[in-house]
Amino acid sequence: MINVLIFLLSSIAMFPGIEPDPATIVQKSYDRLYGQGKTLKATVEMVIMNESGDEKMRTFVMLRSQPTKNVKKEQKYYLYFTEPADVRRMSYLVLTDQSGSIQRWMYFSSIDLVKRISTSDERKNFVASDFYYEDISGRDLAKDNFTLLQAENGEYVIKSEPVDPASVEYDHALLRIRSDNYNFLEVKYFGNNGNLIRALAVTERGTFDGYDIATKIRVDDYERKRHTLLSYSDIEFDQAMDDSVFSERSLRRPPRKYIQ
Amino acid sequence: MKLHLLLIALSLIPLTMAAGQDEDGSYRDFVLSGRLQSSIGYRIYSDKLQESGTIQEGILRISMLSILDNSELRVTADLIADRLRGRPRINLDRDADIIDLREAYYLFSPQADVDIKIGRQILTWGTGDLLFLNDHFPKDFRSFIIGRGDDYIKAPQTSLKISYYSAINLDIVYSPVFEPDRYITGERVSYWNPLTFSTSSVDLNVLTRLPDTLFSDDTLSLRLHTLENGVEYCLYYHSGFRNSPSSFSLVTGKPGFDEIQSFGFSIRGQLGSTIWNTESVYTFSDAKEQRRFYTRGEEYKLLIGLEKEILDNITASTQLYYETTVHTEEMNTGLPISVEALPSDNLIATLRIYASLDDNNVIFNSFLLYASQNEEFAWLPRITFKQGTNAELIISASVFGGENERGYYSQLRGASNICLSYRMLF
Repeated sequence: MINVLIFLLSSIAMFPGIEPDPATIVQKSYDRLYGQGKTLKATVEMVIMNESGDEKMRTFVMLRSQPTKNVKKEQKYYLYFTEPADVRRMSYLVLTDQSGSIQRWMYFSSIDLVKRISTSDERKNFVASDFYYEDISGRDLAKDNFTLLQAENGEYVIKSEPVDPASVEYDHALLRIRSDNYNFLEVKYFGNNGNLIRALAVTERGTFDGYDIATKIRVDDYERKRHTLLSYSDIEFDQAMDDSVFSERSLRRPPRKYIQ
Repeated sequence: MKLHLLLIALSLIPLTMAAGQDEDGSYRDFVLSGRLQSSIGYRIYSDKLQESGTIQEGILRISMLSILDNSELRVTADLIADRLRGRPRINLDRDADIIDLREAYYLFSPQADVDIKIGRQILTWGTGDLLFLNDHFPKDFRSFIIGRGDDYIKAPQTSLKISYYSAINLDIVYSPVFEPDRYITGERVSYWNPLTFSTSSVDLNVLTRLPDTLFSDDTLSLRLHTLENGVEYCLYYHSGFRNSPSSFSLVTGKPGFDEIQSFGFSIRGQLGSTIWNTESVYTFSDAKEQRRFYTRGEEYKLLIGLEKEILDNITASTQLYYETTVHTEEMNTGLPISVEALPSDNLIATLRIYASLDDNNVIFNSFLLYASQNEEFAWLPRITFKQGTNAELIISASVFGGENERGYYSQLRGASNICLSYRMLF
């Protein structure tokens, strides 16, 4: 009887006439973009190109731990900057607790200072790039309402509208997600008069330790006429990573076991 | 002095060895970095005891890091070419004249939950912003005032730091010999002399007796700290000396450093998007036993701070600080009739505005302080223009003033200056 029920339920899911829930699609897609693996170690390189064509690079090692797929709870990450010279030796710690409250610290090695950073907004430029904090750590699904606009050519196109429009700089966003594996392809943000203001696109993927992940991501800021390319390398998933890595100790002393 | 030269010599050996090591499965690396900074600064008001220039110098900083498996060795030194100095001296203990060894330490973990950092290092703890309660590590007020930059507020010290990590973490810092602040000595920056009741530029270093007997004039600092539900709790203990000359000897009449013991705590947390902190310290010092006068004696300090991003990329932080001396009759014992008694209470308010403008290429940073005692103020504005990621131009000012010239900040009025610096990083 149970088997029949399972069969029936799974048939419903595959039945073309029934529209899948857009929030579930986005959830699965976010899980692939942000929630894979219990731990992740990667070298991140950012190339930031401004309006006049000046290029800035940022290189840092990122360690991430997330015991559950819900990235807005108990996610921890640690960054150690190696380049360029103006941020070298700086380290950065972000802890998200059970309630979803985020705490950030930064370490300034020249004066041995651990400074706590106020977290007013998740939609703020991350390390002076065009990425927002949220683009790196993941956005809380409860902050948006989703509508499925299109499900064809192997893609879902989903419209996302903020629950609290005052909390974001855009009016709505259009997400493109692959329908076969929920791979995140792109999100475009539109302003109040319908103009494209910002876009984030996955430009390259790779498989590491059995996880298929985005290895290159591009963010375009059309209003400021700038863009940032982010690429992950030296990717290692599910390395045994002691929780104490995500603490003041690592801010003051980079964990060389992971950062070489 | 000898200790420091020995440190440099010892640290250079493994550095050179590490550079030539082959890969053998274990990890080794050698990183060289540094910067070149030139600064020029002039007084805003005239000080008849001093020249008009406050800074005219070039500093080459070289930092070498050698990573060997689970340990690391770092040496950072400033080479200073200073036009305003007279006779150049190398005296690493009391003055950073031409070489300032800022770091020369070996850091290793004898076991997984212990870090040991031994050698010359810069140490900071506590939650105050330019108000130091439980941070008894040496400061460099001279460099800071004349505009060398924010990262000169801390001076290095030679210490053994043992950090033990568990649910509650413990830091132990032991310095075999006391190292004072790089305090105002009269060189470039004049100070108020309460005994002569006048502003002075007489070298305070010459007048002062420094407790400098190895292992006898030692200092110990402890910190217990933990993070619980996003709130940082710390307990502090310190046994040592006040870091700047703080009293006079009843025997010699010379300024010196009170022996102190202090106990304190700090708590730092977050409410919504606002960071809050509170810190307190009680300092014990027996003036009678130490045969000192004009001392602050026992004192109590309390600090409350708030920080919030008030507008896009503009952060404001404010602090309220209260200090009071506990045994006022004792601290003013033996004062010559001409000398005013030290006032006991002081309330300080600060406001810092930090703005990151033009895509992080222009940083505006202003720190304003007002102290009720002597109705005095300090204003430290600074604008940094970044040129790419490897160069920056900094225009800064330090402005001090107050009702009279006797206050902690108002005595520095004559040192108020405007400074232009250019930094190249490599």
